[in-house]
Amino acid sequence: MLLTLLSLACTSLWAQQKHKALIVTGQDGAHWWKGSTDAIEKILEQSGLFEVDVAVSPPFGQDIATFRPAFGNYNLVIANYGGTTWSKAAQKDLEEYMANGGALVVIHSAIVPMADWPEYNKMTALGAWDGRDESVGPYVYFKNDRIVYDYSPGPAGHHGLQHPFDVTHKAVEHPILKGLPTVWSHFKDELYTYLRGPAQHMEILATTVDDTRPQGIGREEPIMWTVNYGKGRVFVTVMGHVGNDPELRYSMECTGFQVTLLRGCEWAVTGKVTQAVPKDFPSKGVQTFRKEFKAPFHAK
Amino acid sequence: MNYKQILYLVLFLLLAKASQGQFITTEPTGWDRFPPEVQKPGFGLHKSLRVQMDDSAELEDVLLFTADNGHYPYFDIFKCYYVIIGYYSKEIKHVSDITVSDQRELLLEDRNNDGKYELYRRYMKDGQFSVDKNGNNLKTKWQFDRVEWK
Repeated sequence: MLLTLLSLACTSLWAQQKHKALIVTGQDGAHWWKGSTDAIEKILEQSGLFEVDVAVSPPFGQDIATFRPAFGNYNLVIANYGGTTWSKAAQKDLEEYMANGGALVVIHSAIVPMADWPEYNKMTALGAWDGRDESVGPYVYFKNDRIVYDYSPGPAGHHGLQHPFDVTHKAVEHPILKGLPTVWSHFKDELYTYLRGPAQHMEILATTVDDTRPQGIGREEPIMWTVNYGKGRVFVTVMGHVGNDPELRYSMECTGFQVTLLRGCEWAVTGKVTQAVPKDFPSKGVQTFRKEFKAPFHAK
Repeated sequence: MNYKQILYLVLFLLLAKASQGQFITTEPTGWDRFPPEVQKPGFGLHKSLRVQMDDSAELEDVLLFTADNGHYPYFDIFKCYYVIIGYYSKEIKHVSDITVSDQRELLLEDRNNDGKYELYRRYMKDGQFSVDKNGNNLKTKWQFDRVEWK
């Protein structure tokens, strides 16, 4: 009896320690959002750190005004969404949630939509396509180890053929990256570059060079960054393409993507990262995979 | 200005117009690299080369247009077609059929040394292929063409 009560108490305590996360998804023309949402859900839940719910918007063409997730019920909101701009009421809900200390994680194509929502552009700091140009802010990239804010006119967003690329850490002491190899190889992904936006209260964590572009054009571009929005924290990762033709999610199987996502999620919620550096993390010239979206036995 | 001077001016203008006429050999095209009617929906220009493709005196621009047809972990599939345009005449000499391949190749060589280049291409029979559930182990029946113009 005593053992049972103790066991129940421990289980209850464990459950309380998990962070409640909400994945916002449901529209994304060029991506298989069901597959990517399933992968994100598995990555978070199988880490033992998060409990995950999913809020699915109406499909394209239906009334987006009916979509109003209860952000306030969660410690973390994950944007895996590339569709119609939300209603003013839903926009205000997320703005208040973030201003009051909420946590937002933005994945890959979620930097594309809702360019006509200025506060979303501030939360993501940089975006691509959807009509974005010099009016939303500068291009931001690295040159000679300095950040360049490039206000020249031009559209935001470019991607070439999917390919593997090296990720180079810039903020090596940031909790999300601390202890990880500072250069590592990411598996084949759709690399977004020529990003631009308000770029306010932003810290670039890591960069990459798009070497599929002609020599001299490819530049060192942000691939992961954080943003302070009000009292809230935002973590953005450009990695994580999941195509809809065919429906494959090999980019998300990369250990580097999964580990940085998990660490980014924890940092967005708490401002700290308690996760140990896993032994299966990729390094320069070495790609590793977590095909079941969980740490393998040899990770510890 | 007297009548003689006016006459000289008119003669000069007529001569100037005739001289200008000697240098206009084609109508303005209104396009840059290729006429818009050769671009099929969803395709983009991937590569072009300028070589001798036929018996005409002019060189030809050979353009490769491609579109994505699926991305897999270790390869990609593309739809491709080729267009040949006379470099000076701007005449559209050929628009090929669409083929499906894992490469975006524009392979032009004069292997038979007749002074004219041939187009070599490799593509999947009927555009058909299969992969396993992880997107690996591509299986298809490859076809090889050598295309030559007279």
